[in-house]
Amino acid sequence: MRKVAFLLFLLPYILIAQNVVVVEDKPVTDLKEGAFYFPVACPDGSGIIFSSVNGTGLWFKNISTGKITKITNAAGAGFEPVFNSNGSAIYFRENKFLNGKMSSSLKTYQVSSRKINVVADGIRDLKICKSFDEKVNSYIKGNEYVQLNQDMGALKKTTAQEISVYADNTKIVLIENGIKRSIDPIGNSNYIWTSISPDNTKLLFTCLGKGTFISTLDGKIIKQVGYANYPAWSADGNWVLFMKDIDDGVKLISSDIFIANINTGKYYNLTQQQNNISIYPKWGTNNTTIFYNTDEGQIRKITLKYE
Amino acid sequence: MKKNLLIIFLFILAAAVNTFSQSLAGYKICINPGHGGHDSDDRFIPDTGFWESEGNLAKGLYLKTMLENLGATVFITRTANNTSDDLPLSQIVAFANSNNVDYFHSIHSNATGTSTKSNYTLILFQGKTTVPTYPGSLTMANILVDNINKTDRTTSKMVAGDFDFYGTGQAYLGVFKGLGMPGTLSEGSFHDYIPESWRLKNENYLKHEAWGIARSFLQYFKGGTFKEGIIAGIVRDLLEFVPSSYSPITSKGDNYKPINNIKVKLEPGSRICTGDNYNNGYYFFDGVTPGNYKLIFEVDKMKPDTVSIAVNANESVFSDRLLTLNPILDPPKILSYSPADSINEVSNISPIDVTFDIRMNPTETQNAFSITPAVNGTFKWDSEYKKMTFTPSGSYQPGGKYSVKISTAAKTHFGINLPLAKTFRFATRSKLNLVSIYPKSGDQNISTTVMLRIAFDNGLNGTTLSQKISFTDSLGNAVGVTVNQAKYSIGIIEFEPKTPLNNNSLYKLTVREGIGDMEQVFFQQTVNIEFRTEKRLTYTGNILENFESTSSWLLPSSSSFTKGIDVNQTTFSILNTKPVTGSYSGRLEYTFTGKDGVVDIALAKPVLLGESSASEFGMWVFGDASKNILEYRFSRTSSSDVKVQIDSLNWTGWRFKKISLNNLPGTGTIQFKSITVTQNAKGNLSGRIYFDDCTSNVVTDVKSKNGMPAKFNLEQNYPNPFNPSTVIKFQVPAFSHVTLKVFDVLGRDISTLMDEFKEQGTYQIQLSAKDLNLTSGIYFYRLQAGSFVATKKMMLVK
Repeated sequence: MRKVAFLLFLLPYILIAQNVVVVEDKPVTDLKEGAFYFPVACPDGSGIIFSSVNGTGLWFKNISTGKITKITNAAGAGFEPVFNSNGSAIYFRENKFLNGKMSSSLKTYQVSSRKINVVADGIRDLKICKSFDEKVNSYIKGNEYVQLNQDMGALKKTTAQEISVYADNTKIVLIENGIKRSIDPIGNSNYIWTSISPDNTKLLFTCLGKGTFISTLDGKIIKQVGYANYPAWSADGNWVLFMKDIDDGVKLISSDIFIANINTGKYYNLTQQQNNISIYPKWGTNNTTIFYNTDEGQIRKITLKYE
Repeated sequence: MKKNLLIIFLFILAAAVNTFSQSLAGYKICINPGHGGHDSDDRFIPDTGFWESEGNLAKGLYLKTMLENLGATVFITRTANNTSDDLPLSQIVAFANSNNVDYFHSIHSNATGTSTKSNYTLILFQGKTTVPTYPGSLTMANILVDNINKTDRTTSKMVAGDFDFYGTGQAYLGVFKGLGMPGTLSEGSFHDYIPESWRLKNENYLKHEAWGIARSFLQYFKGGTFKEGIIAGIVRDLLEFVPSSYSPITSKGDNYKPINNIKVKLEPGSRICTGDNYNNGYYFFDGVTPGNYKLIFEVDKMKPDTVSIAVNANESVFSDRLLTLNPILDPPKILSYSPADSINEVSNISPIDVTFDIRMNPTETQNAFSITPAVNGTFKWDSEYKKMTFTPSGSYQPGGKYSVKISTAAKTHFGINLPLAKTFRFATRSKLNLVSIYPKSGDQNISTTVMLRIAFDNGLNGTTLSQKISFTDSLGNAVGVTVNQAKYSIGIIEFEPKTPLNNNSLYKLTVREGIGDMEQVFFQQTVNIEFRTEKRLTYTGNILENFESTSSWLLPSSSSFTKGIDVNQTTFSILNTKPVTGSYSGRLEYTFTGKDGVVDIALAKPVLLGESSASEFGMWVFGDASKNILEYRFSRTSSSDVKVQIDSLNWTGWRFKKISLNNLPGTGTIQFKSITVTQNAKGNLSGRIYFDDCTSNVVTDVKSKNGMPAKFNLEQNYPNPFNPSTVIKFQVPAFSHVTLKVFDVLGRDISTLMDEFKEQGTYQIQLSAKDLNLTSGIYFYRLQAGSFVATKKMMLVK
């Protein structure tokens, strides 16, 4: 059996008396509406976007009206679509396979006008980069770094302090002021699920088979989170959200959503009361809401209370 | 020298350029060798020692090199096979997506049950079989299934979408869920089909499948074809066959036994392939320039073989061979036989083995075999036809004298006769012998709950025991016993009295002639054993551990003092089969594996015995007469653990085994920590011991000098709980009117068991639940004699 090492935060704990309670865990979509995966919350809290099991297509659900609108049928659009800084546009990819080769387009969807524009086309090895606040700020086109700016629409103005990060096989690549540098914190490893902490000082990443870690921007390991997949920082940088999925080598057999306090090392299973396989969690607009999907394809929302 | 090196370098360079002149430059491919780490979700075949994770990884690493040599950028999910390489499916998918690969392929082998004889190639992808999630997946699946079927030794091929294959109608395989590009999963062949399982342990066989997948990528990406071909095949023995447990597919020749350590030479080129010793006979040459070749097979003791073969580019060509033995014209020799010549006391069902140095003609050799006096039987040969076994249909005559002859008519496989006839003789067992008996005649102080044991030198036929054993008291009255028939097969008769024997009394055990064993050999004497039971003693004190709860004791294997035991055969349990008091007692079953075994049963929490060493400490021990050593382990504040030898386990039945704490070293609080059984060089390797009531401050009460009771006493019924009957025992110190009654839990008078005058003495009365028409539950029995009244509780279980 895979050893699920839960070596949470080996450094001494800072004792903070805080408990987390799940106030509510309720469905956002009904399976009759379709099987949806990979939820991402709109920055203004007005809705949720999500995709299909293979990341093909993108849908928007208005929280107020409950109405689901299809944004695109594009293949790959569901893989981490990103909002711009004010939430007026969604950046997403569309993958095509020409003679077997993947070719991607970077596209935007203007929320108000529902128009889709092509930012760049025919990209080989597209990586959409996010800044510390989970907003898009640049993309990688092969080896070329392209910084997005206000000319692209309602984009956040880039600043000198902005740092982007992405995984590139056996390296983590950081882009600071347009300059790329690679780090290999664990050594001889494959990396996925990289992100910058909200205070712009730390990295959160997963190393294949070795777990999830927090490091400095130079790759010095600060904390070992353990077996924690699809990890994400909370907006205040005090919590890490993740899923603990278990499979039998063929299919998923169980999974729960957890949050862990990076200061105290305490972690909380948020879905242990749910009789489903809970995967791919994302924070909502603040620390008290989390969206995730079940293995069957239902989007659900967790509301938390910190005591 | 430098010139030679330059030539070799240029040759290798040319070969490499030639081999990989086709290209996958610019393509990004993710390879996932499935499973990993020998963990619970890995697949293991005990018959061959094959792990699927190992086969998948080897194929993946070969494929990675092949694709990289073609110019592709390869992302592989693991390069080792440790627990950390057993990746979650979500990480595998994320890795492929993160690197924007053009194609994802997961490598596996299949299983469905050995007896099904399944060995086909299966390629799976996401979607319906005709409507894949990614069209490229179906295209590649059709290419892969064809190419792998041509490299592996599979019988057929199949492609399927997971929606249909698993019958769910929706995404099923986790390795495809969330995948952002076309992907496939190959189940190249079936690792639980035993001949294939062996082949999957062969590096060349795994490499060959990798070539099949590499060819598929070239075809899928339209990158051309390999300019070289592959020659492979299996070399087997024409005269030998694999075990039927392999469930071999005969149409593929898998019924013939492959030959290990083969040597195959390819000409021209003089390339040599040496086979493995994994029962494969598999040979393999890759990178072979198209053309006509000759294969030369050289195997020890087999006739050399040669075959011509044509090789085509980008194809695999097979040539399986069935080799025959090199003719041996030497006359055969008999290397060994059994029973040995002139030996006596041979088992009455013993087979007769004759081993030759050369493969024999079985029919001719069986005809040359004779036994006098004649005995019917059957012949069996080993797989090499060198060892012949004759098994008699029934038993030989007890004490019979037999002569076995192999005449010169015996012939080798090559037609050469045995030069000299061979005769050997043996005599069979004439009688069943008594090995040991407990108690022995004249033994004193035998426990009243003794387990009597009679051991013979062969397994017994239970039907011969009727009227052959008697166990009586001094007046000749039969004692009711419970017999353990499970040990008849190893020659042991074990039985114990249904109720405890009387104290300080003579008993007689008679073992009569006519007891037979499983070979129809009989015990031919009558043995009388007389022994006396122990005098009655009572032990009172503080019961510190009553063996009523499993949580009080640790398993023997968890003690650091335990060593030299068979962990699977050594257990400690709390059971209700043999309590002294209460409902339960502890049972240790142990088996030593070497010479210095120790089995230690430790208390989860040591029992505090106080600081005084003036008292005695003991417990009830139901011995096993194993001659191993019983010890108790103590510690004191000022000293480390000390083991105190209590006794040699030379008894059966309950005995209270106590020691004085006077001689314990050190000072301070004494703790009782464990019971230990230490192996005695002359003791039994295994045994079963019971324990009850660890008691401190033991006071031993000796009954009146004449053995008669000095006061009224009502004992706890035995057994308790009971079904269907139990015995109530009581003592009367002087002539008295005695009543013994049974009540239910509501106090209702159920029965009067006794209402009469009794002389001084010990009495027992058997209560039958059936006779009293009792139902399950708790009952009370009350003894009243003069002013003495005592009541005790008993439980009937059904």
